[in-house]
Amino acid sequence: MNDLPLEELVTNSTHLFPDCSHWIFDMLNDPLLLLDEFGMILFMNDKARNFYGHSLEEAKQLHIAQLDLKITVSAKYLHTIRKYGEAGYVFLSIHKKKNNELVPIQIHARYIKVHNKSIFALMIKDISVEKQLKQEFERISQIQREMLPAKYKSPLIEIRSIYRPYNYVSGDFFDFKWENNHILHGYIFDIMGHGLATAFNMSAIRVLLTQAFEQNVPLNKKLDWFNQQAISFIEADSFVAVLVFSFDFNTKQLTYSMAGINQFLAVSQKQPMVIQKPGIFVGLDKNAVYEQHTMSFFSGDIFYFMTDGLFELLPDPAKCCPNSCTASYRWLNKAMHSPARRDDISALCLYIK
Amino acid sequence: MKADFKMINNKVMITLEGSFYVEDALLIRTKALSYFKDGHNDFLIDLSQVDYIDSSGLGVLVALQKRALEHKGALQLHGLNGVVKELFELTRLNKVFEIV
Repeated sequence: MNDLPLEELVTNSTHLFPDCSHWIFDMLNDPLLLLDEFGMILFMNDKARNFYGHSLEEAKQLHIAQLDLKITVSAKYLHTIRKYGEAGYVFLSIHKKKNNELVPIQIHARYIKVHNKSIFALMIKDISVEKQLKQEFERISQIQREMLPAKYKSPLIEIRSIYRPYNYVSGDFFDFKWENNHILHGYIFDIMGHGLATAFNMSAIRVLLTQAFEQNVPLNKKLDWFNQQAISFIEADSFVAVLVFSFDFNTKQLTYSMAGINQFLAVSQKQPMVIQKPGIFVGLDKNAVYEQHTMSFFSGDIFYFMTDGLFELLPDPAKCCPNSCTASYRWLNKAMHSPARRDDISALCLYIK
Repeated sequence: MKADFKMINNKVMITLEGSFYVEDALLIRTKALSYFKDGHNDFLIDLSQVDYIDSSGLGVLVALQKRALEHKGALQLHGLNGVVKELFELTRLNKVFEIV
């Protein structure tokens, strides 16, 4: 058997597998190429022939460099695959079909020895759809980022933010707006779920919240109204965590109402604290009634309104949060890079001047 | 997180152990929904050994409860304690779910 030419060994694998023939390769769901030690194609399975458009006879005349546009030196290409041996080597490339169509692909390559003869096995995966989807997701991610408020400074307050989607698309959003010269309204929300459906819901939620703030009612009643409107279009399996706030710079009172985002971090008169209040998620109970709470704020105070993706990463925030703007912001940023991170991260950081 | 599914007296008993995060949510949801397809609409979820649950985990519980109610069934939770109990109280989910 060792004297059989490699080509025969491969194409007539009844010798290799007594009870099978090369149709076992044709059963694979992905295109498969087998190359000899020089990179010449020995065999293309059925899926590969359909993919590339070559017959088996045509394929046997081809070198891998005639398919793979990224090969500059074939010896180096094969050497890299050989180096990883049976463990396999995964890489991206662009292949050319018979009709000259170029296709981005992922290759899972292995180097094996069959009866002392070298064979390179390449499993091919067409990633053109994935690549397109990835580009779309990147675009959506960019659009989401551009919708967020920029850094803000005034004689009364400085506002920064933290925003880091877990994947491309986030269900988190935040915003703020002056009602007049001395009242600053704002919100932060987190839609349960990930992916495109969540991103679509986000836009609708934003619009509704803007409308809620236009209602001439107390803050908690705005949340009641928002919940009643939102419940009719939030998906059955979804809900929204929200925190709404209002800083009155004349009375120096912060008013807030919580609905699923039930805590925030504050440094009040240099003392860090976690403020927690109850409130059900938006979208679960049409008749939910929300509470509102107030606290005084002072010059130098810091407020961090954040989603749970960041809060759960903070080690004992009421004790460990630094009491200065720069140090506390840095501390949050450090927490954001924790390997324990599992969710979208967002925070509005407000520094009272 | 570990999840154990059993049928007892025509009720689906789900026992969860560990921390219930987003990566567990999809698996639990998929498995639990398959019981609905088989016509089982009553669930009891034991959370006594769950030490943490994030919003995705809560989302699964909410989804299953809505599904159970749509099918004229019920979803009960049992054994809330510690951080999980506090979370349910803070988010008022203790008013939404039947806790036994």
